Amino acid sequence: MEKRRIIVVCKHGLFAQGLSTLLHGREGIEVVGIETDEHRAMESIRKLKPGIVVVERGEECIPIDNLLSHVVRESPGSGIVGLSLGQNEISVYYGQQRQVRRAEDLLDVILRL
Amino acid sequence: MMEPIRVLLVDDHILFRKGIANLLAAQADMEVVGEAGDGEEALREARELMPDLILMDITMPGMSGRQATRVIKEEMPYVKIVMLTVSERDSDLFDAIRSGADGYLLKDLEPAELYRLCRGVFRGEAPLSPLMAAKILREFSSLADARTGTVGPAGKLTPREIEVLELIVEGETNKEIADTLYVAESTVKNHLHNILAKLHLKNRVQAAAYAVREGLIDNSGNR
Repeated sequence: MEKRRIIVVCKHGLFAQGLSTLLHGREGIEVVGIETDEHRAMESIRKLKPGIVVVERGEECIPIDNLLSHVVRESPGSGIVGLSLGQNEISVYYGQQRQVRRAEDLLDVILRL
Repeated sequence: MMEPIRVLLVDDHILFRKGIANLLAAQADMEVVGEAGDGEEALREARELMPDLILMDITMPGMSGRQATRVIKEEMPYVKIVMLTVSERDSDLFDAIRSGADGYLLKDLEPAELYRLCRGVFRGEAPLSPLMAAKILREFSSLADARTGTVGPAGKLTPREIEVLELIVEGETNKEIADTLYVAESTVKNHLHNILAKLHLKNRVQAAAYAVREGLIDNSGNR
């Protein structure tokens, strides 16, 4: 089975490293990067084109909107998993982008989700 | 071989707590003996497990980390409690110190730094993130400006002890203080013991907080 290549992006270094240890060695998963800085995260996503980006969400964290648009542009098809420490929540985003050529494109995208 | 440091993790953020537990489990001299998701559970676990060290979050549902720290320190003063939080708020820092916390760390530190600071607390050092140490220093400076000149128990401190206290407030370890003052580390430890005894305090964090609160040292480092 092909491994899911994952980049962990968290402002808090301890959380980033802790998450990495939670995922490390799990079957089907390979952590290919851990980043705590927005610029370096963008660069890693561009270079490594991971299958999944795990992102810490929160007021003091790297803005997820910036990462979402970056992932869609630089690593289309990647999944994004947002983790909210404050609420103990996991949010899932699908990083896809397509050019709108006709109104039906919107319906097509919705039905494919 | 020395006994491992028995650690209790208290944090309501499950993924963070499990991650830290995994990180600490890889350290030969540390053992995570328990986990808790709020202050009340922390209290129960602390009573049952009698850990050496508690890494305590501040903001949790129900009993907060600060409240739990106060109760645990009253019942088990030998247990070292280090706050591990995202909060950079002055109020949380000083409340934690007043509650008896032995240290205050922010979650943005690197794992290696966490290990080093956790070990240091058992050598009498106070784990403080640099940003929070700076806050203590600033608070101390502003209070020093407003000090009245009245002398309490601090009047018993010698000029050398005042120097040591100032460096403690700056977040220096015993070794760093020894290097700064060109004395042996054991001498610094003796000064620290004397300071704590004279001020009726338990640890260096309380001593730093006391210096801040009482405005013992002015900006130039003199009483």
